[in-house]
Amino acid sequence: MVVGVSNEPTGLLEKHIEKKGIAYPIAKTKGGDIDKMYGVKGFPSGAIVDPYGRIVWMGNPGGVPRSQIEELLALTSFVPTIDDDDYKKINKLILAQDFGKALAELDKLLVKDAENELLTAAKGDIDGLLERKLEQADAATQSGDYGLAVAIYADVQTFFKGTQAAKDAKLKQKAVEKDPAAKDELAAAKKMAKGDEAQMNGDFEKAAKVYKGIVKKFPETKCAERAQAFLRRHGSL
Amino acid sequence: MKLIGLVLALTALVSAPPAVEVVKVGDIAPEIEGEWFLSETNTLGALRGRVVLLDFWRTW
Repeated sequence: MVVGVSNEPTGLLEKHIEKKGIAYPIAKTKGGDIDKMYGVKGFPSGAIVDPYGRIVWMGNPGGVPRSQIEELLALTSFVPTIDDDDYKKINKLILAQDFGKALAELDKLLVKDAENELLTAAKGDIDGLLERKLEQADAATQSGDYGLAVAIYADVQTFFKGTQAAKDAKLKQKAVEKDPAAKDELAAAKKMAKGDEAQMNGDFEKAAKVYKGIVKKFPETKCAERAQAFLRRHGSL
Repeated sequence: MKLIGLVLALTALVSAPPAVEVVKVGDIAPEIEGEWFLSETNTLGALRGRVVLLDFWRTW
């Protein structure tokens, strides 16, 4: 989804929203600190945030190469629906991100209709999503970003409930959780979630307190790095 | 009075907030503090689970 960000006066923004028929969220910020944080030097300027809250791209939205757009799309949990009203049931499952059931339905239909291009394409899209999620989780594990790895394995279990892939993801998640190297990172990630939640509720003081605790208790973790960045941005270090 | 004014001005200078740190790719996206229009939420954090394109724009 798109979120527009501007620090202009409310009246001006409201007029513009009406004139252009804007239907997506607009965040009105105060002053220029948020722009500066995001390295905005001119307009338009953009940043893409992945489902795990991480920035995956920053720059001029007019200048993104197609290959990169595809890479960015791969970070989403986006699966296209089937462009045919005969498959309402499967589309409903896809929209609900219940990909495990969607796959089961597709397999049933494919037994009778193996050559159906729409069905094979849909299956390919869902299989592709699973493959990407598992690749991302592996990469996160390799780089020591265990909190992210666990979050992705948890997503796979939700999206692919009832499948072998979900069972495998559960085992992989357990393996990461048992890895002694991941102990501090995961403990820090747990705390981090509390700080993030406080941020989500707009309670920045509480967030800062939680983040300070992480920096103190788990100084060598990736979470501590992120916590420190937050504290520096808010001038509370 | 002038002296008090000067002292106040100097204090303001000394306690000016530090330069804002710019985020980089891979960082957790900083919260967008402010008033959100046309939105069910008013934080970026509440949009976890989705891909969000932040579009920094001006009406001019």
